[in-house]
Amino acid sequence: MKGELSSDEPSGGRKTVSIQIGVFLVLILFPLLFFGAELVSRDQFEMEGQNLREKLRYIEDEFSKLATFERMRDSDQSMLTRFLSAGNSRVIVGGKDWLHYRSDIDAVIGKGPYYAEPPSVARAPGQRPWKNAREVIPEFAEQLRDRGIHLTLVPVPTKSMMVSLDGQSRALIPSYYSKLVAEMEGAGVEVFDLVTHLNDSGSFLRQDTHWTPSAIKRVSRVIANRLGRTESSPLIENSLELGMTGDLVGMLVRNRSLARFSLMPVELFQVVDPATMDPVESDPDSPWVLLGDSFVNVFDDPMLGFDGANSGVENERLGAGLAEHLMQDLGRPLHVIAMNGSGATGVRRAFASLPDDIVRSKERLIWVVSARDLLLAESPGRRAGVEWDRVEFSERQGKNATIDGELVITATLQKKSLFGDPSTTPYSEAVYSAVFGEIKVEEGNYDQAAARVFFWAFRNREIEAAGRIKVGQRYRLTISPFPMSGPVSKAKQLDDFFLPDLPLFFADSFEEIK
Amino acid sequence: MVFSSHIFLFGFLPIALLLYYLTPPRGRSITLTLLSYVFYGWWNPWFVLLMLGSTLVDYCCGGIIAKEGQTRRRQKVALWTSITINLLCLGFFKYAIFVAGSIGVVAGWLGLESAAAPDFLSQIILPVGISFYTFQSMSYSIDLYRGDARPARNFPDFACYVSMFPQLVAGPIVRYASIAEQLRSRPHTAGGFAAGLTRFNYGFAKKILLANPMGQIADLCFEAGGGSLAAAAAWIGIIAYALQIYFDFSAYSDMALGLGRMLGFRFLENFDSPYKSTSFTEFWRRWHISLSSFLRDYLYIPLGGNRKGVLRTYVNLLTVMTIGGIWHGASWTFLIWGVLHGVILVVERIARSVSPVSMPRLIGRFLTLFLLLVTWVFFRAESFDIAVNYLKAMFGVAEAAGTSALLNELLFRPLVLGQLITCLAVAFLLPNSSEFLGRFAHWKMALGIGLLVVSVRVMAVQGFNPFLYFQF
Repeated sequence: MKGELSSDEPSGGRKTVSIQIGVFLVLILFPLLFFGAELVSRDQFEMEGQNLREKLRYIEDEFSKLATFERMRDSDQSMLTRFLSAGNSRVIVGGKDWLHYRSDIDAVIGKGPYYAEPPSVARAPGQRPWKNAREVIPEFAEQLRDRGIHLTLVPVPTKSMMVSLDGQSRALIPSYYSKLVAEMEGAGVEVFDLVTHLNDSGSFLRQDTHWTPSAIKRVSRVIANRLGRTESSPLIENSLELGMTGDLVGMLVRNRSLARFSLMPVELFQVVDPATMDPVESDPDSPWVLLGDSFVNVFDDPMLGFDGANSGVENERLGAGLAEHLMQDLGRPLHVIAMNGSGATGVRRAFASLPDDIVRSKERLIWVVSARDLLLAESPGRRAGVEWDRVEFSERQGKNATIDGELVITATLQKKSLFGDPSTTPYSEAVYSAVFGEIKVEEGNYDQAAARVFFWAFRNREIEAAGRIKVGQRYRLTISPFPMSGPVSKAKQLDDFFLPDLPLFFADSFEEIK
Repeated sequence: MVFSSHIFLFGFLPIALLLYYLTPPRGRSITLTLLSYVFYGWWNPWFVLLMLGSTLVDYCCGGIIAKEGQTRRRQKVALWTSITINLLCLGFFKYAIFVAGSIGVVAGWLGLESAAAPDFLSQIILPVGISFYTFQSMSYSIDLYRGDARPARNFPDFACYVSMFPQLVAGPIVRYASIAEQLRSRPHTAGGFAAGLTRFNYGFAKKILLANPMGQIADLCFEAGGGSLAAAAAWIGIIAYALQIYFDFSAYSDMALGLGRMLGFRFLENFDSPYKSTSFTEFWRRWHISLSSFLRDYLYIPLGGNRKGVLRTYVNLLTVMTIGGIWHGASWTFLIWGVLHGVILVVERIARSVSPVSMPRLIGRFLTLFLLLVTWVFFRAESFDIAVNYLKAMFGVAEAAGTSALLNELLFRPLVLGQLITCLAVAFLLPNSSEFLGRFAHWKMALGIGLLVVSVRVMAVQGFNPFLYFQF
């Protein structure tokens, strides 16, 4: 059909027009063909999601994760950072190569925990109501008090509170921070404010969200001074120099070698047992508990901020984190529960899941949590993956609740926690919970009707096979009690189902039963 | 699915174009309708049923209205059935929570014990684009009733009109009369396709390269609290938001026009460099033209327009702008934004009628821009309180806290200032898309393809690609 020619249409040069139309069509068709080829090359392809809507989201996510786009993303980000000092939605590139985490900044300049977002703010369908620290912390302190445990809350000021965009030290304390601390103290919570102790230029790392090893040492002493420091610890310090990439570089590009940022030299202070020269371990029998997030794990967890072999770090504990220094300065063991990105709720859940008599054997709980988690308002809080949920304590009793060793079961997956696109999360590793029913025990003893099992969701921002298990499907699982140390224990926990009366397991292996 | 996404550009669009052009010309409207249902159902498959229901109601009502020999009374009943059902639908999905919440607030003010809004209301999800397609659907019944349009040839044609994916979720609002002939037959030429893809490419680039960076700046400022917003930052934030909403909205219109053109349709222009206006009256002739003309023809004129005396004209203007405000979103801030625009339009009319000389163009332009920026604050703010605090910051009434230093550091980086200056230059110094692409040139088409490639790569990196029309 022929139409009249208008001025916005080409009047000549049909060949050129045809070529350009062809180029456009090839450009938009190429990724589609690539996507099709990728699907065909997979051994099996099954759409995830329990309804059509979720399946469509799955297709969309898979599409935007095409290897072609991923490859482009890294090189383009590197160029934009190199030539324009452009960050992305999570990382701000400041002066003199200082990087800042956007959520840290939101915590300082945002609306704070006293702001209630109106209903007109768009929310994702099915999102749980938002709770913030103000509601949850006093209740948690009360729960602990009922069990004879004293809580000391240690908020860690964010880097953006203490360092300018180009790395100058300063203290920018939002008004709602002081208000919140006063409110918590008014509610009977002991709060230990670190602001004055981190107010110098060497407290935070240039390319990482966390504090420096020397700041950790300083803070550990300050906390120990307050709680009863000892000079006679049998533990000794061992200095170690390493090159650190920084977690913020990892949030900019996945292939860190593409980034313009060089390794930061850091001097770590490992705390070791002089007899074995191994890093000091958490002691689950200690009456003193340390709950924490990545501010506790940094310089102990080798996944945090280090780039594996490039940094000279293998998958071994570094033993130079806050927990180890506190054990040295306090001269006593600590029961450490620290998870990256889960300082607000995950660690409290893990503690509350312990058998009741074990919980009641504790005397003091030191809770180190990023001030970011305390200060973010709803929307930026959700963006940063912060969750503040109330926890219920388990009523199980220790002796008969403890399961030793491995179990082999066959069971049906009833529900699993959701997790987002790992390329957009602030953490690069996460475990997630799943609930199994119709259990048949093949090896070991287990008499509950359901089992709560954690799996790796993703590691190094790649979704694991365990992240794709399907609801309704039957599996053969080898599970063991959730580890209290090692990479699994430190990873971000994504847990939509808090069932404190079920013991926690981790899946060592699984296979689908056809 | 939004236009500025991988799945649309590299998944839906190529498949849609292939299927559309592989279909014989007689069946293309049906193919387009089915594709549009897939496009719309991507958000939530249930929404398709809602749209289909609305389409059926209006098609049937239209049929009754247009039936030969039909009594005027029956036509009226059919017309009001169509209007009522569409407005009920819109009211339920868009305004139920707002109304229930507002009743609670008012009850609180009056000291009455307010019943909490029913739980189910909080579960309502606003179907994307419902404000656009219900308006379009209604306009069909009204046009038939007025005798301004002929009835749709068949249901597929009408369904295609209501659901057409290029303009479904963010406009422009297309009236049936303006497109009826094209639904019957439309030219599909290589030239038209080339013009369409060029317009689409520029729209895509505008969204990614101009609107999104402005959105990041605006978000930083509007999410600031606790005294972190100093005057300079507040002005930068609102200027960035004014640029964001213009580039974003006009980019979607460019993409809609371009996609329509690739499928053989011609929609009317929706934006005409609105920030170059010298008055609010002119602004509303250049901004979201399809909405302002819709409100003019279906609300302002039926209310009497300017034919019933000066006072009534002012009341009509205020009414139309208030409804226009609340059409944008179920919140008091949108309502206030609409009222303010109505008041300014009225004041302009009064000033014109009493002043023997007109305002110098330059002053008019600055004054218009200034007032636009002030009113955008209400459009962008989450609540009335936030808007008032923001305005206080803009005018230096609120005292800035120490944390404002951090926000200032973020805003006064060379990258941010460079982006802001570039966007200002594009908005104020360069011709708009329609002017620029009004005359075809091969280099413009090639540049458009280049911009598309750059934009796709930047989109993958940014991780910030908001869709502003969820609440529209």
